[in-house]
Amino acid sequence: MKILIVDDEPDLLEELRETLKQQRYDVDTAADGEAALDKVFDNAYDLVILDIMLPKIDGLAVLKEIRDGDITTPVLMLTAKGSVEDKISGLDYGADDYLPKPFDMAELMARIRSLLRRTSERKDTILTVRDVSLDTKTRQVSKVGVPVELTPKEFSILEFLLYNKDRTVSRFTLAEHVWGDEFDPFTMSNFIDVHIKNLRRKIGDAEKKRIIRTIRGIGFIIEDAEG
Amino acid sequence: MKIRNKITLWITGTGVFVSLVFSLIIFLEMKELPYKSIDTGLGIIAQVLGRLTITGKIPSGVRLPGELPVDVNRYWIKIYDSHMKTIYRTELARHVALPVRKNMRAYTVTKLMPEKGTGLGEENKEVTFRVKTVYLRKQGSGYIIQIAKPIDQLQDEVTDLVQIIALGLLVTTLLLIFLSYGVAGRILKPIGVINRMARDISDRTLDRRIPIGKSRDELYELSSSLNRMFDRLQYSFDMQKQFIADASHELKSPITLLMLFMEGAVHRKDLPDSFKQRLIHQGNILRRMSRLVKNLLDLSALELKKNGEFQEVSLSGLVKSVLGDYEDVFAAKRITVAMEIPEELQVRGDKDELQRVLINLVDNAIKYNHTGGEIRITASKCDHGVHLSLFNTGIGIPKADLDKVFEQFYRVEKSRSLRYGGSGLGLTIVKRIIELHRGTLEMESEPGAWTRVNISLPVPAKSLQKK
Repeated sequence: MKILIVDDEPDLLEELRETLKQQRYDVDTAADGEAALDKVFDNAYDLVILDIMLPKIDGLAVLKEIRDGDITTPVLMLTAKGSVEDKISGLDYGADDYLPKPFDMAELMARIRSLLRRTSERKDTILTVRDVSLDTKTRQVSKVGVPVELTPKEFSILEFLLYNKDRTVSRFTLAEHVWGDEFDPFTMSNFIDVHIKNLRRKIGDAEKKRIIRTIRGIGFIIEDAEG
Repeated sequence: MKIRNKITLWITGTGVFVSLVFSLIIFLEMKELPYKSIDTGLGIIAQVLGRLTITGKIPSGVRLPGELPVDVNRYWIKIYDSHMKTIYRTELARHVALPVRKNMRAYTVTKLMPEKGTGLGEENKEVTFRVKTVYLRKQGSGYIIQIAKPIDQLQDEVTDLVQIIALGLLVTTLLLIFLSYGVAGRILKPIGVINRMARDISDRTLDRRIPIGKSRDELYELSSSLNRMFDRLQYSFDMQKQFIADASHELKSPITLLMLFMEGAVHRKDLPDSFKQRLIHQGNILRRMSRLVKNLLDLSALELKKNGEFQEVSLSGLVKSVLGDYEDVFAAKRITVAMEIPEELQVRGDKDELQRVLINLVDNAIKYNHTGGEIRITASKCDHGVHLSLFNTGIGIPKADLDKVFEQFYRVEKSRSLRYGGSGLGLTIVKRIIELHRGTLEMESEPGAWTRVNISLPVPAKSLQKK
């Protein structure tokens, strides 16, 4: 999978490149709008991560050029402004998703995976861990093929952990993802454990070989390998 | 003292002073005026008497008919020779003694009348005389003719004059007070207008200006000076708000970078768990900072906002959706939630902002509640809009802090921030949003027992709504 990251902050660019490389993505970078357009029209990317505030040509103009050039590559907009206006105009110009700064890696990873799956040739919408599978499209969860009823919050937690498979996700990140920006994650993170407990019960997560494993003092992780 | 009263006092004072001086001059003139004709009359008689004296007809005869135009006996007349020896006197002068004042041609003397013999019918009464003295010199010898006349009625005329002047002064003073009060009001009226305008310009309406009059007078200068001051104020206000927005914005990239770095480190296999736990803790501090930056940015966006695009929002629907998000939290903390909001109750506002208000308030109601506590949300139509109240059991707020909790970064106790989190801006944001909706907000509490937030949102008249 080939991803282009466009941002004028060199440190941020480097950090994202390193992390995404570790996740076995093929990463390319551009520091301004002009370079971004050159690269988009020369290469076939699976995803473009595009900052709105850019030197030379701003992110929205870049997005417009891309869409006018009939390139349908999914675009994830990043913005530091975080205002609703930015979000709306971004989506109007044909962005596929929108992420306000500051964001954390788990959230970015979940968005990237969701976007890549949504547009992949295979139309593969099923996420699995061992005998548990989750369909991101139909929002169905099943354990050994038997449907399991989850509340929207529980579904959201499981989906997020699955998108971040093999990576530890903190309570805070989960709280922010599940309840959204408006809610205070300091209040909500206290209640993540309750949801995890219910989730474990519903997907029959046995004590000995946990699917959702608690990493003490850090957070939760979903792994294929039984540890 | 009000300027209006001062001006009134000044004008009245000056007016009364001028009137007094004028009255005094008039009084003195008028007082002497009647004496002048009397003095002239007395002078004529004295001249005739003098001629008679010199020709030696006096003192041979007391009565002088034909020579004088008046009855001599009605006058007090005395004629002295150069040795001050009386050579002639009338009947009146026989009974009443009047002093001779040298160097004075005319003067008034008041004397008590004897019991009889004056022929005036004024026995035992005080009578005022006008006295005139005439000196004659002829052939080496001199005469003094002293002639006087009772002037009772003249005294009355002077009293009348004083009364008229006093009355005039009183009327003038009253008129002056009324007129100058009116004039002062007229002078000050534009100042009142300017004052009202200046008072109406608050930190929320800094873009308004005082209308400037056409004539380039002092008030024009005052208005323009004030307007220039408002320009500078607005500029620095905007600069400050813009600064907060810019600073918060600039902080976002470095925070993202730090967050990504810390998260990356947590996934490294070569770091011990204890170190990762500390990193997570640092990450949470960073998150708190990120939260603060986000709230600061939100607040400055709200501060810069003039008014929003409002729409009809179903209050019960909004409250239900927010409470729905907290459902599991209520269950976990065993909090009983009651909601009493009429289905049809609508408010006009920005849906996202009103949701923000509810989230911030419910968040507090959970944070400061105790396990097994209670939350009650009620709303009803009131006279001028919708009244919404959010009640919760919990630790409460001391009375002294009730009106300060909406101030930015205000905390009842410093330790609360560590225990309960939050940026210290939640209620400030709530207040600003309610202000943008032209509503009011107040808080009541019983420390250790409960807290209640009361919000009223105005419902604009149908005619004001968008067609």
